[in-house]
Amino acid sequence: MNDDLYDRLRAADPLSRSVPVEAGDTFNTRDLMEAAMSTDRTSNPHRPRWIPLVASAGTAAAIVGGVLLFGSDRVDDGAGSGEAPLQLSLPGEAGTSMSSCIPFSVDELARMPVAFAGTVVGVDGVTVNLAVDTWYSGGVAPNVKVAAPGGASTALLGEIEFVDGEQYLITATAGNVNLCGFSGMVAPELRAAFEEAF
Amino acid sequence: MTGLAEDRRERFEGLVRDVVAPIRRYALRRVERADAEDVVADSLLVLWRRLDDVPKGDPLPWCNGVVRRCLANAERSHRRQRSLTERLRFAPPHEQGGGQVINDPSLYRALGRLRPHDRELLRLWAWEDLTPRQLADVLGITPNAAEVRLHRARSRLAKELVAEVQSIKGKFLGLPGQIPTHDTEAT
Repeated sequence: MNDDLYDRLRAADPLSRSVPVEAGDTFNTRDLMEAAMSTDRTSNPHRPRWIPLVASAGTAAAIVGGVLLFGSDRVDDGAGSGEAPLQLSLPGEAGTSMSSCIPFSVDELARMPVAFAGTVVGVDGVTVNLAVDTWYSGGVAPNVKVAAPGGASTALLGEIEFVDGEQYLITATAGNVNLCGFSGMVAPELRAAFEEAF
Repeated sequence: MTGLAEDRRERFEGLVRDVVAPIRRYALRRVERADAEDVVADSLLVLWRRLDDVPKGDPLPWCNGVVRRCLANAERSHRRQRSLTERLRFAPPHEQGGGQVINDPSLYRALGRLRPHDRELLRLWAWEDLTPRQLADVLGITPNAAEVRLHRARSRLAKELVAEVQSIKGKFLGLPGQIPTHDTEAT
């Protein structure tokens, strides 16, 4: 019975096994590899650099109530800058109901007073520690700490699962991280939206 | 370039040679081609950044874990744009690997009625060819737990397939079946 099931499932594979999928030495995969390797990792595995694809160091964006600062990719691990980490929290249950979400748009994103790209360097009980790779607006600190509401014991906070070593794009207003699509793990759509906004 | 950096590049290239095809297949089985390429690109970036964390012996389950997270993120960012019906419906991506037609709609309907976790487990088992040990690695559970979950998922699928057969039979005989029909087919 189990073998029949297995065979039937395999027969229904949407990917035909006879069709070749590009192996490691074809042109397209090489492009992807080069792109990955060019993100200029430092020797510290927890601090990959974020290299913005648009160099926009002179642009003033319409940030309400915030100071616009662009982190250079020479932001160090924090040993030299001495800035205290920025403390943020995630909204509690009431704040994450879908009815209170504003629709996502690049314009709204650009108005966020706090926005940055950061990598998780530690998850400690109720607090996630992110090392900032790039500040888009609202800060200079090398680290941001995000606290979970009500002492949640996992790193799954709201819609966002914080994983050690992964990179995130985060926005915040009045000390609270914005969900509803305005923050999340780095992904092509979100990355494109951030690049357009800032 | 220093020897260390050179060594890193070589290790990464070796890893990619081993895993990019399975990663690509994993993505292509679950999302449309354009999204699949984005997922592969994101996955390779993560593999580069976390090269030192890759298990030496059998890297594929670990890499599968990376692809799953990248795919989940891609899905999340698309979720807003899809209607609720579309989100709930399970359907394989079309036109993969040269226009392969899905030839077992009954199976897909049965799969569609399973919980997403069961469905994913069965796909990893049958399409990605993962052993229970590898499944355990991907899902972050013990091999025993993986065996148990797989056994349960198989039973649930088998039950759904029986239901499929019964409803087709019922339809054929003009009996009230599990899937309501407006046609009365002559036997």
